[in-house]
Amino acid sequence: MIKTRTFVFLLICLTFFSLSAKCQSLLLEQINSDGIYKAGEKIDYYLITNGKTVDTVSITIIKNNKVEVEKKKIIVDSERSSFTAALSILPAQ
Amino acid sequence: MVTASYKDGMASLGSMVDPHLLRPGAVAPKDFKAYWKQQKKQLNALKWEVKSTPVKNETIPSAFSCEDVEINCLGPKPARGYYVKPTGSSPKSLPAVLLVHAAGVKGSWCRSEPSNAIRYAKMDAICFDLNAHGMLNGQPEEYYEQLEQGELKGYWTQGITNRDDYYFRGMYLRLLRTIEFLTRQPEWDGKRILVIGESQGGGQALAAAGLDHRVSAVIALVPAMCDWMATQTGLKGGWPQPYDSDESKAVLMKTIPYFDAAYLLKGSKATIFTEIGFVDVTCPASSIYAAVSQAGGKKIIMGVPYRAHHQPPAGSDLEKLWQETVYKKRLEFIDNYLR
Repeated sequence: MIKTRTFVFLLICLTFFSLSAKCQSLLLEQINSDGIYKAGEKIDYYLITNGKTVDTVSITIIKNNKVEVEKKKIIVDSERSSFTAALSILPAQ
Repeated sequence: MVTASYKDGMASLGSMVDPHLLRPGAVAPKDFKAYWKQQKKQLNALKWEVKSTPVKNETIPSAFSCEDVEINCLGPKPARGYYVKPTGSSPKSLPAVLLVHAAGVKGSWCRSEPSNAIRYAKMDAICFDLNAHGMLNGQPEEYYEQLEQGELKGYWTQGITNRDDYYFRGMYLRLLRTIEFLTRQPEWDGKRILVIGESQGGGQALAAAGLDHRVSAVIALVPAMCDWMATQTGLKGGWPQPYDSDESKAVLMKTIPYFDAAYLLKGSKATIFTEIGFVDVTCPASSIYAAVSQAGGKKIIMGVPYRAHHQPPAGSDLEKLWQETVYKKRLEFIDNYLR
């Protein structure tokens, strides 16, 4: 009986910790919260770790849903790391 | 679009540069208007035939009537769906709501259900829940399974080399037939027709606004069928990206532009409420901005930098944010519009 209780307790603990880890995901933010910019404007992005321990993160910047314009690794040394991109739009017809 | 990948996960965020400057990737065919005028003429010449079967079960509240409706169409299939209205309403007193569905065949999201239409009938509207394919309603699972694996497999490319055979022609004609059905209902107020859909349904909603100017408002969520020729300017078109198929571009240009919301919307005065995901690779934000730019009515554009094609995962922080700042506004719009 005690063994069963211990097992159930451990199972609950494991589930709790596994869910907590799952809920702690990285978050990206940008300087304009609506995500809209003017041509030539510099865009600052922020990586929020939410207390999650990560050393490096791969960042990929894709333009026009097609073209990979940049791929880099950034070292995460604080709760809020930043990186920049400058994107432009293709000319309208 | 920026993606951050780490050991056990990924986060994405999108940005748009001058989205108001986006325009369709090509110009409409010269005979675009003439083609649709002819299609509508043929459709209207068809004798009006409606088969209606009352649906009576414990899921239909007593204050509403529900019918399984079949409306004849030019083909290849009739328009089919559930029609629900509040009983005892006065003539010319209610707005009409048309619900249209996302891509697929057998999924629960593809099928018409009385409960979908009841939701809006409870808001004092007449409502038709139209399935996209003219399928029978309320059939056993195997019926939809067989359709998906057989007749409707890859339906979005069927007939792609001829505008009169292209699958979306039938889909749009069924839309027009169903709008006509709604306008023939004595309860319709003669003013308001709201079409609501997501993805393929969003594309149908925009097409409805373009093809029938009696449509007064649409809710087009991450709409498909937008700016298919965007590839010509280095952008990506909306689902199902028919211009990227292996067929000859010259042949495709004689078919697909006739069914692209970017051209259909020209001349529409409907109010457009649209939700656009900036990390949506199925229905890219640029394709939707380009299409919606062609409409002439009021536009309420909800750009969501963190949204992919599907809404944020249930229970996530992003879902909470989306519920509060995006979904709530959609509900408010519908509520105010139907009031």
